[in-house]
Amino acid sequence: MRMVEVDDISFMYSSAAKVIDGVSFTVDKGEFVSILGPSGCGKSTLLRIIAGLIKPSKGRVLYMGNDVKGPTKGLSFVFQDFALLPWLTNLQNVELGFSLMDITEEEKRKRSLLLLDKFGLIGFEDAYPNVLSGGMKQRVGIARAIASDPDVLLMDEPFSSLDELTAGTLRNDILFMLKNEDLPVHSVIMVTHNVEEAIELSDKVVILSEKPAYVKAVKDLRMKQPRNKHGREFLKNMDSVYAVLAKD
Amino acid sequence: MDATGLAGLIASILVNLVFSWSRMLIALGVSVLLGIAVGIYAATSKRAEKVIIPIIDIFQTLPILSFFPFVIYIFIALIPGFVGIELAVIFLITTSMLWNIIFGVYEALNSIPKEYIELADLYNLSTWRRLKKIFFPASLPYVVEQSMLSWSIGLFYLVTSEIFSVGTDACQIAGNTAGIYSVKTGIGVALTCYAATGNTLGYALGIIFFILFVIATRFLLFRPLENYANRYTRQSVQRKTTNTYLRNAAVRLFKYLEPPGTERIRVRLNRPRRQEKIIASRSASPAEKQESWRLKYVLITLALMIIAIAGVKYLVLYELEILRNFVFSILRVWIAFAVSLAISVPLCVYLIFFTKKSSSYILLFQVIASIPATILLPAIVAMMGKSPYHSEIIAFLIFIISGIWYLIFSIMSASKLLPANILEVKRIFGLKGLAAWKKVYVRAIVPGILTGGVTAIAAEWNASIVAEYYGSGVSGVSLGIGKLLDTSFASNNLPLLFLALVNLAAMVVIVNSLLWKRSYKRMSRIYR
Repeated sequence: MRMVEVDDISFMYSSAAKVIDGVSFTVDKGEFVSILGPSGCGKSTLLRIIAGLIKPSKGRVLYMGNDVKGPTKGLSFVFQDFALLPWLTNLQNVELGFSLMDITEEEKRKRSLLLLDKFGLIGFEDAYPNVLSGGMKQRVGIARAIASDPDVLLMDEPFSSLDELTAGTLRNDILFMLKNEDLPVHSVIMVTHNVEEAIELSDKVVILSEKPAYVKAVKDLRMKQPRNKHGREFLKNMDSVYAVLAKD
Repeated sequence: MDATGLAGLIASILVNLVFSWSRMLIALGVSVLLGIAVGIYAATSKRAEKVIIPIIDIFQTLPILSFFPFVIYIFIALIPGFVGIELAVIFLITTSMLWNIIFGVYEALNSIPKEYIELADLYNLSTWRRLKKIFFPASLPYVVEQSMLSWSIGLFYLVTSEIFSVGTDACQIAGNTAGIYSVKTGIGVALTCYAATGNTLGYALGIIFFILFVIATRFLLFRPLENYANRYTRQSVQRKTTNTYLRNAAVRLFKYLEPPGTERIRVRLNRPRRQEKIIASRSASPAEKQESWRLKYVLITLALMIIAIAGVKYLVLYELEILRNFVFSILRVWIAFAVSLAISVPLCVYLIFFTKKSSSYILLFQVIASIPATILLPAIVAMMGKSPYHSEIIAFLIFIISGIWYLIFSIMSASKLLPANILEVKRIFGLKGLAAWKKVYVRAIVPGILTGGVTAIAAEWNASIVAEYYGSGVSGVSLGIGKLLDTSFASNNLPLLFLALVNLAAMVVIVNSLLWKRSYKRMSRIYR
C-alpha cells in the first residue's frame, strides 16, 4: 500500500537558485526509506515539505492519496536537535503529541507515562529536558512523535546530534520498536548524511545530489535485519552508494 | 513666520544641540578613558577587582538620576556659578555612561581565550606590550558597542538634567532666563522653553533636529568606530547587540546578590563560554570566598550610607514622611510596569512568532526608544492640560515610556536563544489557541521578561524624579518619592534629600534580591 508519494518536488527561496530540483520517490507501507545526501543539499527542506511545514515551489506530496497542504495528522516529525520545549517537563513534552486528540487530560497523562516507560525514561517524567543527556532527549522527542499516532514517522537526522555510542544504541532501539506490532508507525522517512546508518536501517535509499538536489539514484536494499556491518553484502552496498555519491 | 525668523529659529536649535552634544562628547570621552583604565585594572588585578566590581554593581542598580539634586548641590557648593552647574551636568551624564563601559572592558578581558594569555606568558611579553597587543585590541569592540548604549542612556540623562536644572517657569519671559541652578543653553532647555512659551513650531523642529542628530551620530561617529574596532573580529562571530548588555547587567546583578556559598547562577548567553580568569587565575580563590566579599561590600556600602545620614535624629523626623511618599511611588511604578507588561507581551509574541519583519520593527523601535522620554514631556503636558488628575496620568506615562523599551528589547534579545523549531513543533502537533499561548508563546518569553523586568523597573525609578517632579510649575503629583526629592532639594533640606535617597537605594536592592533573584533562580533551573 502506498503511504507517501513525493511527486516532482522543486523548491527555491524567493531570490536564490533552486535548492531542490524535481525530486520524486514513493514510500510504501512498512518501508523504511532514507534520504541520503551531502550536508546542506536541501534534505531537511525536502523532509519539511513532506511534513507540510514548507510549501514546495513546484510539485506535490501525497499522503494516502491526498495532497499534503500543511501539517497532517498521520505524519509526525522527529527533529535533529530534539526541539523539546525547555519550559515543559518531559511528560508535558510527550503530552504535546496528544494535542490533536479528543481525549481527557488524565488519559493523555496515562498514555504519555506509558510511552516514557517504553523508552526507559520512567523517573524523569517530572524533570525538565535540561537534565537529560542527548540520547534521552531524543527518546523524549521520538516518544512525543509517536504519541500523535502517526502512520509515517519523518526523522530529520535524528542521530547526528548524538555521540556514536548513544546513536548506535538508539538505532537498535528504533529498529526493535518498528517491529513491535502495537506501535502505530508503519513507515519511516529518515534524512541522513551517514551512509552506514542509511544502509543499516533502510529498505530503500534515495540518494540526492548536491545543490540543487535531484535524485541521483534510488537503491533498494534487500537484506535481513539485523544487518552485520562487516558482512560482505553490507560493504558492497556501502561501496556502491559511495560510488553514486562521488559520481558527478 | 518669515524666512529670517525660521532661519533664526533653526540656528538657535542647532546652537542648543551643539552645546548638548558637546557635553555628551566630553562625558563620553571621559567615560571611555576611565572605563578602559578601570576595566583593565579590574580585570588584571585581583585586589582591584574585589573593590571595583561590587561598587559598580551597586551604582548600576541605583537610580542615579535621583542623585541629581544632590550632585548639583555639591558642585555648586564647591565651584560656584556657571562652571559648577556645567560640570555637574557633565558629571551626571558621565555617571550614566561609565559603568557599562567598565563592565564591557572587564568582560572583554575575561573572555579573552586563555590561549592568548598563555601565548603572552610563553613569549614573556611585558605588561605594556600585553596592554597594547592583547588587552586593548580585545576590549575595543566592546568599548565601541558599550559607547553606543552609553550614548542613548546619556541622552536621557542629558535632556533630563537640562530640563531639571532649568525648571519650568524659567522661560515664561522670552528667552532663557534660567535660575541659578541651571545650564543656559542645551536642547533640553530649548525644548522646555519652546513648550512653555507655546512655540509649537520650535518644539516640533527641535525634536526633528534632535532625531536627525541622533541618527547622524550613529552613522558618522559610531559606524566608523565600529568598523575600526571590529576589523580583527571574525565575521562569523555575531556581534552582541546592545541589549546583551542589559541581560549581562541583570546576570551580574543576580550574581552579586547570590548569598555566599551557594552555586552561582550561570546563564548561557549567546557568547562563548567564559574563559577562566586571565590573570587572576594564577591565584584563583574558591567561589565561596568571591561571593562573601561581594555581599560584604554591599553591606558595608549600605552601612556607610546609613551612618552618613548624621544620626537617628533625622530618621525619626523624616522616615514616616518618606515612607508615606514611597507608597505612592511604588504603586505608580508597579502599575506602570504591569501596563508595560500587558503591552509588550502580546507585542513581542507577535514580533517573535507571527511576523517575518521583526527586524525592521526593532530598528524602528530603536529609533523611537533613542528619543528620551523626557523630551516628549512638554508635549504630553500640553496635551493633558492642568487638571490634578492629569499630572497623575503624566507621571504614569513617563514611567511607562522610560521602562517599556528595556522590557521589549530584552524579550526580543532573549528570544534569539530560544530553541530552534519551536514553531514547527507547534504546527506538527497542532497546538492552537489558548494551548499555544499557554504552552509556547508566553512561556518562551519568560527569560526576557525577567531580565528586562529588572532593568525596566530600575529605569522607572530613575525616571521617578522627572515623572513626579514635572509640573512643580504646572501641577505635579502631590505625593511620591521623586516629588519628595524635588521639594527637599528646592527647600535646601539636605538631610531629608539624602535620607530619601538611601531609602530608594535600599528599596531597589531589597526588591532585587527578594523578587528578581528568586524568580531568576527558579527560571534558570528550568531554562538551561
